[in-house]
Amino acid sequence: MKKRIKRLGAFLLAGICVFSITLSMAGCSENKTGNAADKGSSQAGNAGTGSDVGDGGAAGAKGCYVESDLTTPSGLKKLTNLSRLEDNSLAILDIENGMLHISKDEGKNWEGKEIPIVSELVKNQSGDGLEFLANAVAKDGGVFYGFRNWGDEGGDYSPHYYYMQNDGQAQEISLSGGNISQAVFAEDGSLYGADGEGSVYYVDTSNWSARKLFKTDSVFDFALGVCGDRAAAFDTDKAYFCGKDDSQADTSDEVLNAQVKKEIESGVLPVLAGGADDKVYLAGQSGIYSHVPGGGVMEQLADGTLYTLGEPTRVPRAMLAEEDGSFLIGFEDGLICSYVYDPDMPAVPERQLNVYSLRDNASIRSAIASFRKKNPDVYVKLEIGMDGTDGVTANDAVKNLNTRLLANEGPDLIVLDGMPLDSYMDKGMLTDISDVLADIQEEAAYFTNLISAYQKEGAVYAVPLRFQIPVLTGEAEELSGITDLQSLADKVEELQASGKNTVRMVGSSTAEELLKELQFTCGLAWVNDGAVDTDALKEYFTQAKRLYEADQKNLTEELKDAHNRAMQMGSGTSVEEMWNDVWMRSFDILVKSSCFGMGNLSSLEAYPKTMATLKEMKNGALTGLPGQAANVFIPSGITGIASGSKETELAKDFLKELLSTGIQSKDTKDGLPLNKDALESWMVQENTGGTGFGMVEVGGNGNEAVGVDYSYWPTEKQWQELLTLIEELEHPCLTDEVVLDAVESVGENILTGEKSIEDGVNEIAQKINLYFKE
Amino acid sequence: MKRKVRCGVGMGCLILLAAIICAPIVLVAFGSLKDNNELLDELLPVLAETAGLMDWKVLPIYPTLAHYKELLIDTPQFYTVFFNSIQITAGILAGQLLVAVPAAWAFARFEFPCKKLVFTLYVVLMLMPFQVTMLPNYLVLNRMNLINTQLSVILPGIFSTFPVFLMYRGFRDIPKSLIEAAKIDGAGEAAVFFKVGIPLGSSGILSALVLGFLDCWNMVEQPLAFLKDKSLWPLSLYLPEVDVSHAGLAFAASVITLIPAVFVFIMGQEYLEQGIVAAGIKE
Amino acid sequence: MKLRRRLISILKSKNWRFVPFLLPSLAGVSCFVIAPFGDVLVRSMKTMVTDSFCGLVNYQTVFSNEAFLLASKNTLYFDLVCLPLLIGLSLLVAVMLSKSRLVQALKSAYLFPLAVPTATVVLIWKMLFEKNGICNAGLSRLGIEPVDWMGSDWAFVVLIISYIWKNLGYTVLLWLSGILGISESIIEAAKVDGAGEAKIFFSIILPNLKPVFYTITVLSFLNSFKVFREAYLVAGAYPQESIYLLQHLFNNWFTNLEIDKMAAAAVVIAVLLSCFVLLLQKLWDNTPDDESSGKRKKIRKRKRGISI
Repeated sequence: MKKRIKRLGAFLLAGICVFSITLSMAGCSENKTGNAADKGSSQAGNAGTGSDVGDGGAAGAKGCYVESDLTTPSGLKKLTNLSRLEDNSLAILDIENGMLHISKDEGKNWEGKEIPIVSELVKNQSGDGLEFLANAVAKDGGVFYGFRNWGDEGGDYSPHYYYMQNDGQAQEISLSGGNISQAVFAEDGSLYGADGEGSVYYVDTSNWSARKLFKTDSVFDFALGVCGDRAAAFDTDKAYFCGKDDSQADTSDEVLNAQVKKEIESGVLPVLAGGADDKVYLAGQSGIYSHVPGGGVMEQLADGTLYTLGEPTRVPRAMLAEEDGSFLIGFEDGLICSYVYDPDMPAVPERQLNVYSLRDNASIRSAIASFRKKNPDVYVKLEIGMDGTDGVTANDAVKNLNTRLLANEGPDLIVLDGMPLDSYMDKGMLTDISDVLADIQEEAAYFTNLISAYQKEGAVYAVPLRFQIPVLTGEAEELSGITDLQSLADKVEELQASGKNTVRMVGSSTAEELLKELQFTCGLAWVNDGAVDTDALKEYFTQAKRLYEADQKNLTEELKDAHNRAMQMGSGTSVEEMWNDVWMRSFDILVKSSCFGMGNLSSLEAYPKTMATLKEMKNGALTGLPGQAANVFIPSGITGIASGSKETELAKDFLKELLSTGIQSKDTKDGLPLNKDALESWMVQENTGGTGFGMVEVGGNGNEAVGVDYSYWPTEKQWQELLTLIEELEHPCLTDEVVLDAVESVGENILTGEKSIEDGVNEIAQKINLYFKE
Repeated sequence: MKRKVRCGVGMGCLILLAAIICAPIVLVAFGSLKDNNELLDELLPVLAETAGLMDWKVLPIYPTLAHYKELLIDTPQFYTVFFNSIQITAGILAGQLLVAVPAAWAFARFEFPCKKLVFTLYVVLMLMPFQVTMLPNYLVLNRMNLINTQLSVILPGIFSTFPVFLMYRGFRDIPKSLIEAAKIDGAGEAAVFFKVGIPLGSSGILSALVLGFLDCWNMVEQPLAFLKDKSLWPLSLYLPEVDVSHAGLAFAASVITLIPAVFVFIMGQEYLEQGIVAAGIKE
Repeated sequence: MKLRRRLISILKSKNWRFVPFLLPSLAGVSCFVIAPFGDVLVRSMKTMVTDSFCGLVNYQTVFSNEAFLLASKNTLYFDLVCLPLLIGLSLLVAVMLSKSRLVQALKSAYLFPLAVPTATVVLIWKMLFEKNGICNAGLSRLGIEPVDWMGSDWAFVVLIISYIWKNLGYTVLLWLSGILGISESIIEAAKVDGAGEAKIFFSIILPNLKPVFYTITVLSFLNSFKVFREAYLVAGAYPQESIYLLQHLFNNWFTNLEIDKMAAAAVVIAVLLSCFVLLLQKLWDNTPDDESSGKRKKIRKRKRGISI
């Protein structure tokens, strides 16, 4: 009996091995291309097999896509479509300006054709109130468009639809069967529309009646597209295809759905195009893919990180897949790129520049494509240490990096956020970049107080690419008198005692959130000359505790629970990313969910949005966040060049590119630019952010709908105030992860009362002292 | 009577001990059957800052195989990773059989100069934590261009001195008389090794294999340091970061990782027993 | 000269038969184990930044380094507590098991924890020992104040429990294999001669377990180092003082690029370990001839003594 069991066991084990081997063979090929699609590992854009390449790829492998820019039609600010007409010309409908742009020479020159009615409205400057519904270009050059004129003097707010013939004459159409707000023509001339609530329709152009085809689960207003003859739509984790004769949408393509989900998670909606032989092409931030519907493979044709596609600020809106295998992709900001396959171009450029970052960095990504255009023989490979999908800790990643650095196999450029910066500087791991800084300052103006933040004994080893400012917003009269942590706590308690009944006072819901923000302006006070200042820590916690208790006073268990759940279920977004944007925190003030807004100006759009929010208050004001240290800024993307790099000159060039005005004026949402010229050029542009209507937060007092007009642009005076604030900044905040971790982890217990301040501080001091003793 | 009571009490203690030891594993196994909502409810106190105490129910309220499905069917990477683990483990164990068994025999049965020194070296270096030799190991492997290949993990594993140490004991215990007898019968060194040494030392070899398997199967530091491509990673590195959104998956993956290991040592035990019995007979 | 003669005599005496057995292993080990350690030795005598030879400076630094001293003390203390505890407990269990019939099932049960991967252990640890975890929940139901397991000196206890939980299984197995390896006839003979349980245990079983004891000691010692990964994943790189072990220190030194200190400390540890191992070898490990024949001689003597 036992023997039989034993034998059975042996067979079972052998069987499992065989089974897993065969499955992994199937999974392997999928995984290889799946791997190529991984954000974290960027590999050479290989056409065809998507082979699994290690460092640099197969030597001499040839063939990759070459990206080149087409001219953008004049006046076009927002691109939402790109089509190829029957006569092979390209067409872009710029409905906001009432123009149809046509190019007969593949995008070098564009001719504009006026769209009746709309162009008149635009010329008369009464085009502001227009809400556009449906802008679709037919194969013969006809245009189907519609709008609602909220600015109509006669009060006619109903939707009007028109069809413009090739000759420029337009007739009004009465559309029945649905409220279309988007439309697009398919290859065979079928017209599809979407209604803004997730349903897709087929519009019969003979009688202009819309028939509902299917409804998506989409929670956002997706962009309707076509793929071949069928309508294509997305929601957060799948793609829908439906032809006019289909009874329901086809969502069965698992592989495609997985890719869609991945792209959406990276923050940028992909676009689809249909090609020959029913192939489906997808373009997203991670690259261009080709897929046979129902097949098991998503073949990567071009790696997004090598092209503009990979830039986080570029959103692809339209794609055309040409018969010769090339692609045209139109981006929302008007840029149009063509991708043509060149079999002789080396698949991997000879020279390689390795950039390493612990976590994904938008600034770096945004510079790769432009750097490549300037240096086509260089392959910039971005390696992410922790991409959040596995159990690698920051410590493990740093150790691996150290091993490679010490073995002289390390990257050329390192983003030092989250790493032991001081050790790297002390141990000579970084090269002096003072020459780079001197060079760039000849080209443009920089905030000198920030650029030499990491100067040590005359040499500069690292420079932040961006920075954030911790600030406090609220009503001006309530903000007055707040100069440091104690006065903030005093004020908060005073206001609460005198009847201020907002749900929270400074806007935090948990101890972790409060500490994570306060640390920015207080961290520097805790460590002096290599020793812990326990008094400063005690003071910190005394005040923080007062703030915590004030916040918690009106927070019910329910609210906290709901909040906790929301935070836990959020996939991978850290607390900082979600909660420390001061314009979001300021919104809490409007819905009476908080008295003050405590957060960071963490992107270029943060200031305008914050000012827009403050405008809705009686007398909203913004001031630097008080703390135990003054004039602190938060460096983001602290970059250095490894001393063991074999491509130091190239790395320096890339660093210059990262700090150049062109790149710095892009809003990569990870901070304000160090480049003063870039900030100033941002300041004078007009905002096209549109309006945002606020939703009432669960539990906020009252159910009034509060609105903020995010199209508000700060005045000259307000911008000056920002500049003054920036120029007063002196010190980078404490970035030593060990100290911050110790304070935060024990600090939580202190604030919730589980540990006394005395005990907690002692414990923290113990940990930090251990760190220093090492 | 007294004896029986003592026996009973003794047995009771042993069973209780076994239960306590297995309890956490049972916890994980049942956890893998709970659906995400239940896990969220129950794990929230531990993973987030709330006042409540953890209220873990042993049995799931709504048992579900969703996590297993997600792991085994929805993620093709799982099989690659599983196969990698098998590849690495099989490679290392096979190599150890070829290399460490003879070495242990040499240490156990022969005398030669510096034997004690070398053996002590073997043992001491076995005890060194990985961090210490991580860097020079990397340098060696890099020079051989093995970084980022399976061999970078397999080769050092084959030459680990751990199995030598374990098997040494097994070979040591073989009575000299038997060897003498074999030699008198005209057996050469090789024959002695294969016909006498291995069969009689099998308990040592097997225990080395079993422990070696467990070591390799759960190996974390070496693959993390030497394998860059995720497609080469073994199962032990695949277990995801544990937060509530992945807790169920983590539980399921843990159970799946456990199963082969359990298999191996259950089967290994059988052979171990036989080896011991055989050794007893020789007396 | 002497060396040459010695070499010649070795070659002549046909004592080189061990070579084919040992060579593959030695070659590989030299390459992957000994050479890297040699590199560590060299690094321990250089400064990291300038890569220049600096003699014993690093050793001085290490010996006066407070963190190193604390970590060493903790590690020593931990080993002094957990090793005897594990060895004693497992011996007890093994003896009890050797008499029962449920040996098989229970043995497997004890072995389970060894198969559990680290990440799972961490998860279990968190579930049990967090401030809102299962242990505290249980305690509060019994009316006892919840304990801050990981933030106070209790962390040491948690570490010990985790260590014993994981390693009890195979230690018991090894003891068992030793116990069951003692031939029945000897024990029977002793029983016939009227020896009681205790006497049998101390005079027959224990001495025969000496070689197994050596193996177990070294193995348990090895595994006491493995506790690091779990401790690190739960309590971070700077845990509560009482569980700050040598490996934490090495880990942090490596992260902060203090390679020279790490190398020097490693060499120091290696030297200490060598002494420890040599000591063990001397006490517990004699040559096979003396041992097995010695064993028999002793038993025969005993037998005669008892029969009288």
